[in-house]
Amino acid sequence: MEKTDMMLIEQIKAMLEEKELQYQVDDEDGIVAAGFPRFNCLYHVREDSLDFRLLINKEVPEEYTGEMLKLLNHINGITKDGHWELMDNHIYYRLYTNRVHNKEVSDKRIAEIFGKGGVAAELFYTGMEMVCEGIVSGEDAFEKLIMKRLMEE
Amino acid sequence: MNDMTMKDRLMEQIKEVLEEGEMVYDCTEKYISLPFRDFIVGIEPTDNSLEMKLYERETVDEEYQDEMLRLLNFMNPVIREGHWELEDGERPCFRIYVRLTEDEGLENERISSILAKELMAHKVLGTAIKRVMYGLSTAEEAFREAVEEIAE
Repeated sequence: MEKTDMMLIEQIKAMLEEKELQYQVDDEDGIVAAGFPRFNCLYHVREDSLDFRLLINKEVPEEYTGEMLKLLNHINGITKDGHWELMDNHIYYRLYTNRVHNKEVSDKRIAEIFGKGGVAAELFYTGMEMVCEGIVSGEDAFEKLIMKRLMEE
Repeated sequence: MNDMTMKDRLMEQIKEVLEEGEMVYDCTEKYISLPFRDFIVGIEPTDNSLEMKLYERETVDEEYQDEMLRLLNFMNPVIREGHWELEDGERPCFRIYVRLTEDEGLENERISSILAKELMAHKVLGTAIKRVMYGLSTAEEAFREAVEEIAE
């Protein structure tokens, strides 16, 4: 692993320590992972990018995947940095940061990535949960729950 | 030159890249668009970001919108930078958003590579989008065909 990659891993660890969060590190694959009650997230340090992935700890039943796709598409419409997707009945948020043209990723950016994923996951969780349980449609979850909360904030 | 904002600098760089590539574009103060036959690429630089969006000229009829969402969602996990979404629930759109820091810009090479990714996204999924849009294929079939074409 290159020196810049090692440095980036150290920066990520420092950010998580500052927030007093528990994490696991896989130095060989360049992965730093942290688990939370509602989601797990990981940073993947790659030669050409820093990939951030957040997985919501809730499986989407097959019959509600269509509604969940509608909800995620609505959320993507208001999310600038990163996007949400559904893979194997699980909801992911992914954010890609290019490193080819800028090997160094600032501490500010690392914290910002973490903040975007975490805040979004908390903000959208109730809507996602209710769609998973078939309580509301994707459309209603977005308009009546998420947009309402966004307006309040 | 020093008085230029990041947005102004990016505007100039983008035009330079497009002119070097002999590409036809329209330009307003805030926005650059490249018209192609089936789609339009819109480029919007700001002082802290660059957004490039490729959107289909045609919209998807209501009856095929669910299937289109499934197709675009099949594609997203295999793309590293950027993602497909159905804008306003009806228009397939591929979007790359690059966050910029206050004091750093982008090299022309990077701008060019983002544009190349946009065009590549349509090359890979354009036919599949049309097939689902006209009800000729399911999302699974169209996606499988697109993957097979890439493999060839």
